[in-house]
Amino acid sequence: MGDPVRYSELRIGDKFGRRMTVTDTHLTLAATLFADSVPIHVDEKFAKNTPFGTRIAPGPVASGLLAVSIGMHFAGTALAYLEQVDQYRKPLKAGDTVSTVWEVVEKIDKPRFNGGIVVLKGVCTNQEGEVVLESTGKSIVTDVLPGEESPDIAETNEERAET
Amino acid sequence: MSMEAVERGTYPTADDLEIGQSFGRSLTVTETHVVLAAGIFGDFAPLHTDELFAKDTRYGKRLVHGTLVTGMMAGALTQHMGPNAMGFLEEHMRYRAPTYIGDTLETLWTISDLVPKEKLGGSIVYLDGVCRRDDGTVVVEGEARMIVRA
Repeated sequence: MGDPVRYSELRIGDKFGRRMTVTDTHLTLAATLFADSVPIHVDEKFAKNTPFGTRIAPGPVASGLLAVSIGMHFAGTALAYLEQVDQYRKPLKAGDTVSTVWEVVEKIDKPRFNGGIVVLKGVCTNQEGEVVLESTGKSIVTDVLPGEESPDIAETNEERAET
Repeated sequence: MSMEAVERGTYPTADDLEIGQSFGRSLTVTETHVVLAAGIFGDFAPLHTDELFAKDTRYGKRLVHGTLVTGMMAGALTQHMGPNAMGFLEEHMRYRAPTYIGDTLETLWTISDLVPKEKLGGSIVYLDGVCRRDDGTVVVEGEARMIVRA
């Protein structure tokens, strides 16, 4: 993992992302972790008779695979992840390899955080190039790493309330 | 009785749903959730996996992945509808406060609108959701849209 990206280093149009193969382990563990054992996620016989033809991952798996790029890109400089809007387009199945890309679309300076709010547009596609998920994410990113001077947590919570 | 009848018999169809209906559940987030979530998402950001790093941040300890919380919230939704959940279409989740290992999260969903879609064989269900820690703090709030079989 490289150094986390600081707010002032970000430019509108900057892109980052990654690629990962989704496996049966993802489906099984996600169903367990989310306590979401509806047949479409865990019952292959049931799923065979649906339009999907096989089990599909809970939606938030795609959302999480997309969100992780933000977490890792700003690991240390992200003060808080504010929100994510997810529009699910296609289901995710075991064996799919998904590519995720985020693009910085807006920066809103917040001097009291030595940084600001970063607005990003994200897309998650499968190996066929089909869009699985389209998202918007908002994060507070600072120029200051932990151990350097850090803004007050109460102010961060105020900021959450305002957005 | 067929297996399908057993499954469908215990869950609401779109016709059973009404605007204003609420449902939810309570789950305790453990360290196991965080370790496994880091693995499946590949999210080893130090705020989730490095206690020494987290201690030096203003949070003071490791945080639960936001997606784990929203995943549990979505789980409460589909679990309520069971096999009648035909598709999860959209969610808008706002993170209000951090979740820590050991927190018990209470999710509450309320139906805000229902739009029958005969062509799809069900209804589009609009919901407002809120998830609270055991001390009452709202950790996530948002809206979701899904299709439920008629």
